[in-house]
Amino acid sequence: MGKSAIQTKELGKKYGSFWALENCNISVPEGRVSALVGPNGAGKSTLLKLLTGLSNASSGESQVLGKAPAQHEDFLAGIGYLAQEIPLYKSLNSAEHIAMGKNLNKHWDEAFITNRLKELGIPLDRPVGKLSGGQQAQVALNLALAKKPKLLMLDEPVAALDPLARHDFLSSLAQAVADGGLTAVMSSHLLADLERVSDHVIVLASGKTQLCDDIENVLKEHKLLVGTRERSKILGDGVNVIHETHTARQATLLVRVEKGTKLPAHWQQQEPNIEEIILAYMGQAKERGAQ
Amino acid sequence: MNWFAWRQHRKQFIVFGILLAAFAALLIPTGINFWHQYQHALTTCAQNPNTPSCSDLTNSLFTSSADGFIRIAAVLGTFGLPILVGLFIGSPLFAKEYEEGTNKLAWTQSVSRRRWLTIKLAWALGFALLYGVALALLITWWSRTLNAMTHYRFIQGHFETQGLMPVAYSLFFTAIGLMTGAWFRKTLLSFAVTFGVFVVCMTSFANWIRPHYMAPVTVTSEVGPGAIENKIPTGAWVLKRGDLVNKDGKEVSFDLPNFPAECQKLTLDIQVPNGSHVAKIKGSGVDPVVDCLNRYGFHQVAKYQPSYRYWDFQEIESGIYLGMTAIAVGATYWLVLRRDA
Amino acid sequence: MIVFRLNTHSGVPPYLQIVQQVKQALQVGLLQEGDQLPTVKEVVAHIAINPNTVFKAYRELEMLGIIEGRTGSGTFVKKRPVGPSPKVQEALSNQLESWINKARKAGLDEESIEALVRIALNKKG
Repeated sequence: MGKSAIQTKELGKKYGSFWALENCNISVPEGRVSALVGPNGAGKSTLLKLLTGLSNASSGESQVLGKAPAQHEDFLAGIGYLAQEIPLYKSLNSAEHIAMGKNLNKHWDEAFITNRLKELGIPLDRPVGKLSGGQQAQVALNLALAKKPKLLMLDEPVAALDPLARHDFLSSLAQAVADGGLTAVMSSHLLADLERVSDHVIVLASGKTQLCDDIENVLKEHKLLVGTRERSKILGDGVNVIHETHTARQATLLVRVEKGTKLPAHWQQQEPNIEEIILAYMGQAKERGAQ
Repeated sequence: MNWFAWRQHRKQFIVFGILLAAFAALLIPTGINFWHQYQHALTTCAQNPNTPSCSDLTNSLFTSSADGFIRIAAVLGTFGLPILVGLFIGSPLFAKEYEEGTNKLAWTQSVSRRRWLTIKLAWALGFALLYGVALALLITWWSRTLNAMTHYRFIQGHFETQGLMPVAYSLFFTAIGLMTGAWFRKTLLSFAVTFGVFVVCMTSFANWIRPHYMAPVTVTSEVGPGAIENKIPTGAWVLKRGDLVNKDGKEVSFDLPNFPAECQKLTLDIQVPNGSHVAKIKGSGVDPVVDCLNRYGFHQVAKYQPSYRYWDFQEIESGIYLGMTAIAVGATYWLVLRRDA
Repeated sequence: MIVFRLNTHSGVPPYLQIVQQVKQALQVGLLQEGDQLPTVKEVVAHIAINPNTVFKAYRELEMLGIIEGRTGSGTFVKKRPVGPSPKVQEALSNQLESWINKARKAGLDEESIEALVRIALNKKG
């Protein structure tokens, strides 16, 4: 069992009287590329800000790379972060951003980022405010990578990018992960391409954790059951209904099955894909929230 | 971090450097010129004391519109530059980082938030300090002619623009800009509040706070033209100039209803019997109303701060502003370090 | 060098798609014994997928004895997977084509043909 890059215990954050994140217990093993998904307002940005030490927790605690998040040199050297709006110093150019990174970081791979930006065709002497959205995202991502972090946390980095820019961005990220020694958590409210890029998933909705596991395990443990409405009540122990939909005659259940449980025979079993499973959890959270 | 702090803000530092150089380009030649003109006038008056202008150099020298423009520019510049530093170096330093979100970029590099903050504060306040010192030296040197001629340096409007004050103001308004920028996280709001603090401080210190640093000197005189003025030394900062006080020590205004009946009658130009006391007074050239008030025990009171207290006052006010600067800096630390990004 | 594709809607897990593509490439002769496979980094540079997926696929292929990693040099094709030779494959291919023509002449459309094939494949035997 590898070490955890991230471990939280009852982590919570409130703004005024509103809890943006509550009772968050998650664990991300080292080396994973984890997708942090949930609807807007689910608490994804809040969680990432807590893990980077940019925000202070209202309750609970977290361990990031074995330490509590703090705005101190030792902690900061191990993490990389990309905020949602992709902040950069608009009037400075990429070369100056690279010089900034060198000035403000202990470990800095100047050759890596200079080459990578050249490969991508990004002019180093143009003020970054004049670069396209995709180019800015690449500069910001590679700035985070050039400080050689062990954990990279990205807040909705591809939401505003066109498909080509998104591909380039994910490709840069994937290559960095391929080099080894990097864990990545990427938040998104888009579910497409989830299985392609990630091997771990955290689902948040309404500030609460719905799911946190390797995608492989999630797929093994969840089944889609189709059967008649009357029979939908008859399920044994060890079968946890996450979400059900009913038509006049048919019931479709997405269930989590505990290891070793046999499913009743009269159900038609299908293998849901990861997106269907996540939607089921988000649907469950929405219904619970409405109650 | 030092390199980056410089790189990030060098445009503002350079612009202000240019402004100061331009101001110096105005003040240095005119300062030299004024001094020579004054020296020349003094020599002329020593040789020919009856030259009409010599009796009142203050109102004859440097009164042309060109000179008037320079004098106003000097005062405005010295009032204006410290608050401009506060607005354009202080206010945006933190506010802009919050507005653009670049604080989240800076605080996830490998430099601690505390170190980042300290270095940025050091650059901003260090610049404000140097700027204030340069400005103070420049304007105090320039003002020597007018000080020698008019002795006005203790008065409101002049006190603030000489000596230690440009240094204190430069530091303080920069600290306020920095603090409000970190507090409100909006550059424009910080501008408005910083400027508001400037206006409040300038008016309240000049009118209500500064007069009380030390108990003023009180002098009294009889009622009469020039009587109280003779008792006020040159170069004093006059806080109360010759208010009328009755024989019981109560202050009254120079209005007829406050005068005793006899004196009120004397303000009307009525025929006075020959040989009366009033006729004698009139004959000697004294205003009978004035003589009457004196007979009833009225006198005039003045309060002032003597000129030898000028540097004490400069030091006290600088101390107050430095204290407020320290509080603002402390608040800035709390605002940036304790709150969420 | 072989270029991989990923079909996100096929329902087949990504790592398995890579394994299959390598196997298929060997069947048709696109990949031959001794050929070098792209590095994990090269694969993900081209298709933005999780490198762990590629690692997993290469590990599986290694376990099947199809590829081997040579430290310092890269990953290479070891031998053809056990299966029919290209000649046998060609003969089977021709037989399949003539059957398909027969089925079309009989009036079956493409989907029905696919369904027949699927049913036959699912029959154990």
